[in-house]
Amino acid sequence: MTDELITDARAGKPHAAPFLISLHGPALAGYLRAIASDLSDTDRELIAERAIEAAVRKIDRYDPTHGPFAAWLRGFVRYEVLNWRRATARLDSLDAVDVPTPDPPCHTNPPSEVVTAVTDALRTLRPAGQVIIALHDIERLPSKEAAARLGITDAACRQRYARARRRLAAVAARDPRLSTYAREASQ
Amino acid sequence: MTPIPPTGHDPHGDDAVDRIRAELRDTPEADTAVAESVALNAAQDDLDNALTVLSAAALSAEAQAAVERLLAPGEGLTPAARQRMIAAAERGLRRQRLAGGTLASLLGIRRDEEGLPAAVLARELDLEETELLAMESGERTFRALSAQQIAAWVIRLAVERQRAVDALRRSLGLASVTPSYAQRKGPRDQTQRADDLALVTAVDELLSQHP
Repeated sequence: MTDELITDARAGKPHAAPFLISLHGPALAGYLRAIASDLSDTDRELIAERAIEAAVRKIDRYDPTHGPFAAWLRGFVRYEVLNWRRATARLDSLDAVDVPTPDPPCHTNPPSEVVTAVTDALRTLRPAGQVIIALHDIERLPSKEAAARLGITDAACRQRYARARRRLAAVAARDPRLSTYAREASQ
Repeated sequence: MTPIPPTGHDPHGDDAVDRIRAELRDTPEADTAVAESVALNAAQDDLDNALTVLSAAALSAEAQAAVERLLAPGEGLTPAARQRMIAAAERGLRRQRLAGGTLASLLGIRRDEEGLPAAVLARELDLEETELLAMESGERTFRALSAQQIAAWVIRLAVERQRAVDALRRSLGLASVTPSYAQRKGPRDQTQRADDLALVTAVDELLSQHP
């Protein structure tokens, strides 16, 4: 169903829009509430609209080998939430206004071999460990939300997450691709 | 929030979630195998950096299915919110078509934006209204028009030259630089391709003469 809709959307067929929303809109709204529960309904709706417009505009770039369509859509939602938070960050004090600040450190994505190494390390974990890391670090769910969806307490969720991260780090520490990268990055 | 059942029900996702929930609840694992070390702390920093750019494809199939299942439950949309989402998707479709669509869709969108009735434009271009609408909908090909007619249409709707030429190439199946296997083998297809290339070149030249 989704595959056909993506094909239709790529061909610019107008009926793709309402069908895509029927299929994915409710889940996107639920996900948005989970990762941005502090925002108002109005703000979240606006973010959802921006994310949907951007995703559909770039639908040619969706590659099913990189994950399901729903996961791809959630990426746009996360990006728009981040943009929203940056744009509407509260100004706590006027003291810092107009004061020159040093340029922030340049943040670049890690090289592809590092990403591959982390992917390999992640896959050595049991599925439960992978899921708990994915919910926290990839999907950006707050711990309480992840816990609720997993049917465990928040404390248990935090504990499980910390353990999974330590296991992942232990596997990663033994990987020469990551240790070389860490050494070069620290120099 | 009105919880609603997830769409696209995947029984494998259900099984995976059941197994994972059971594992998380019932079998607390000892945390003895992992020792803190400098290397491990460094690895944690790298992980933070790398995990932010991972996609769902980094997970095993079972973990991926479970994550999708856990995130599938949504909430009911109000009719107004749903309508705004649809409008956003339509804007996205429109922009996608403008950027990478055929000349037919590009000209159709531009005419809509101008609020120009099809009958008026058809008269200006010396076409039948039904013919113009058939072109816009993709039912008829631009091969039926002369280079002058296509250029006049593009100029009337103030479409940028390069965008129009690229869209015409896509409309005629000339988007790839090299001819397809069929085009190389079939003399008729080769002739068609040569005609199409000539049409694109002629339109491009006419548009370049227009300030």
